[in-house]
Amino acid sequence: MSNKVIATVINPGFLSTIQDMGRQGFQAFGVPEAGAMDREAALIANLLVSNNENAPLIEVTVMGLELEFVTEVVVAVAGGDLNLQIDNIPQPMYQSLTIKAGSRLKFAGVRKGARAYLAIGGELSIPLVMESSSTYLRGEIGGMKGRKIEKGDLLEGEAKIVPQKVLDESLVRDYNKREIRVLLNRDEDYFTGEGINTFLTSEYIISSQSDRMGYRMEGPEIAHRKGADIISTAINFGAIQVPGHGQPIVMMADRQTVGGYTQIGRVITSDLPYLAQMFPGEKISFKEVSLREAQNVYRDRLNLLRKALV
Amino acid sequence: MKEKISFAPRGDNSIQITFGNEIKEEINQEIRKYLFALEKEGIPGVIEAIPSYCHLNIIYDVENYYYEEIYDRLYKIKESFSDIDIPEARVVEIPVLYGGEYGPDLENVAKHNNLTSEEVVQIHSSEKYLIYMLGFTPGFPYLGGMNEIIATPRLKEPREKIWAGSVGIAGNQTGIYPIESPGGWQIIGRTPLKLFDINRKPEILLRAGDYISFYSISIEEFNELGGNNNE
Repeated sequence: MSNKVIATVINPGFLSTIQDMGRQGFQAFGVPEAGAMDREAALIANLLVSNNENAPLIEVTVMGLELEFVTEVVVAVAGGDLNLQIDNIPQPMYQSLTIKAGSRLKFAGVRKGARAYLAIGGELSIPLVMESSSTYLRGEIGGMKGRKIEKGDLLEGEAKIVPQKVLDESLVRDYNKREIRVLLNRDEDYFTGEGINTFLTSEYIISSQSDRMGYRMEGPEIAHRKGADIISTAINFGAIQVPGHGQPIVMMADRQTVGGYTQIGRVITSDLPYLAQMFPGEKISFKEVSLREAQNVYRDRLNLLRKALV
Repeated sequence: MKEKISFAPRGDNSIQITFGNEIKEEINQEIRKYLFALEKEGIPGVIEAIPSYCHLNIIYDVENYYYEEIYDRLYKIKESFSDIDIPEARVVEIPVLYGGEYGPDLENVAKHNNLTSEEVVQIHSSEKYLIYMLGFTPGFPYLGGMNEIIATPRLKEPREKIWAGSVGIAGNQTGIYPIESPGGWQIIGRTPLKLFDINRKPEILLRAGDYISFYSISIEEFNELGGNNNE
């Protein structure tokens, strides 16, 4: 792969990092998975520019990233609507866009959702750390030397002029859903019946202490049967821990690999993107579904997206 | 033992296998054995297997496999894995420069337990510790087997920065910090070995199921082993 400069970072914005589908296969060694918070949006952005699904791309949080391209590129943006502009002119998401050398792309600010995914057709040259390009900030590994993107950084690699693609509007996810589907750990009895009922019938507010590691929720206390501490066990993406204070925490991409709090269940894979796009202060509720339903919802959606974006 | 093993879904992409409900060497050995059998079997669709004290969590490819398909394969392993031979667990020897600026809390630990610093070092470096699991930070080993007579509570004020390689005691546990991080453990020494190094293969030195033992080294040996390059 040739290694040419594709773009210069004019402004890194609030928090922009290189991510892919996560560092898989190393959690047994205590290495957090990291990766895109909204995996579906990352997949769509990559497919729109004919990239490998797991190709490194940029996760832009909230606002501010501005790039100047030094070569002609094809890009696509999916996920949260952070007011994408090229040379100060608003641009559509969910389709590939050709950008001339010398043009500037920026995310001017939040319109809807918290995280946008910017894929560039071709290949970004990001060294693999344990088989992944994902940035894990706390461990200072992956992406741009283990850190967030900074002003003056050069995005290097090989830009390819790829065919134009558009995602049909009917397939664009409506991020408005506030009822998050979950699977409960029905084999365990860490919670009272009333505690589980509280969890499934109450409204929870995403607290300000929420980030790529986890979303803390504030709402009615979930009652434990006998304490919140358990012998530490693995924590899945979307697992819902309930510590002693009874308030659920949904564990996200940068979560640690194991934890010693009771887990009530897990957000279904298909609904993780809704959470990834939410801000502190937003209200959600949880709804139990069956395992087969959760698996089918995920499969059907992926099939549709893949078919639409070949 | 195998009658006690149970399976349950953890969300739509994972299965938790439970081997017991206490922190016990035998349970760790069962998990290690099962994991070995699983790796040998190579079940399509299994993305990773994460061992912890009493569990093995299997992450699988939900796009192509239903729960039941993975469960059936895992269940079959449960029926046969206790008969297989597995290699003996490794014992990884960890050199430690105890005390001084590298182990600022060694004297605390000694005082707390009415021992001399030399006795603490002697006791700490004469045990064999089982790595139950890795977690907390990349490569951090959760160790069992520390002698209770050197147990010491955590610091009242956690330190903002603990150097990578620091060896500490918290309650009746001992451990090593693979990367620089804040923490409240009583730091009794530092190893020049890198537990986590992205420029090396394997990146993580230790594995769950290994044992480690500590041995005391001098400042000269510490430097020779590349100790100060850690900083």
